[in-house]
Amino acid sequence: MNYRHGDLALIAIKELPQGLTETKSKVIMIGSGGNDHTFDKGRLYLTIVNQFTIGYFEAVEGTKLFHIEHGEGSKKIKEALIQKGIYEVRKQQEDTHEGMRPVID
Amino acid sequence: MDKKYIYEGNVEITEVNYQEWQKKLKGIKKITGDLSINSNAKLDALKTVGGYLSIYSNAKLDALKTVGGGLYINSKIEKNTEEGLWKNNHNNEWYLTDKCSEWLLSQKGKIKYRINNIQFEKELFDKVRKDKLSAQEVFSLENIEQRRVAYEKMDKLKMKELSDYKILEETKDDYGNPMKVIEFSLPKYNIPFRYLNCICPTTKREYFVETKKKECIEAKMASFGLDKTIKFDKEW
Repeated sequence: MNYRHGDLALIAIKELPQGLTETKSKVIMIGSGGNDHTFDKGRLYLTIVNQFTIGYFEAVEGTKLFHIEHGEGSKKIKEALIQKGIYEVRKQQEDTHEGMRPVID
Repeated sequence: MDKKYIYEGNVEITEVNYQEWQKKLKGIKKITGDLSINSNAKLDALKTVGGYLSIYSNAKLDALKTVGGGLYINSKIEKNTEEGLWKNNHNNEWYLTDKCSEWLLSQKGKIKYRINNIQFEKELFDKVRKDKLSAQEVFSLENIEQRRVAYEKMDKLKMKELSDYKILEETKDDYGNPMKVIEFSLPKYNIPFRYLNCICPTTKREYFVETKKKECIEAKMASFGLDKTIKFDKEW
């Protein structure tokens, strides 16, 4: 399964690359406008691979992503349920005349 | 102050509960926590709010003098109320929007300016709310949320100002929302500018994401560094 969560994408991969260190944070990606993408359960491995891939994520049964705008439900912080699996974490970029630039929000 | 004049805690007044709160807060002079008003509430006796004050309606708070925290004003409020609040609390943090009065927006202080919940510097805030930006200037805004809001506020006839403006592809996303790739030229640039115009499936907000691609799906997936053959199974 592949997911898009605003300017963040989780792309399913078969296995984690070797030598990753788990990130002890529940913030997958800091929103430039102060609205972070967070999660409840799973393991996060932040590492800059290239301009798009900013890390890896191992979701477990029932893992939810949270964001103030992206997700489901009527709560202030919306929820997005994702399937158990291993994912590449990607950040959206704009392809501008000055080169690639992360989407700023 | 006698305890009977003090309300301990936060208060959130809405259109649904305002009558109940007006009764409960009758004669109350001080709210110790935050006060948020989203109705035409009238709190005649209230003099002090200990925490943050948020106003989203034409509230009447003529006696209110002191606010402990920041002031979020998202509507035109009574002249007396806003003048009194400013006079007594101008050293606090203020958060003003395009819905505030010109008088309040002309004040100088620790003020943050927002339109549709997106923050702008004062000069840009004024240009956006008064629709003083050209289409070229709107598309040149680096912040995608500011670009979105500026486009919302822009008279769409200005799109005709963009030379060689054309739609390269128009389709719908998996959620039935329209999406297109637009292109236009700007002086001094040999390569045309292209933007993927799409709608967020959750918020339904309209965005323009700069791209070099000519097709919608290709542009969308390329913005994540992905090939167009890869699909999102779910989007929020």
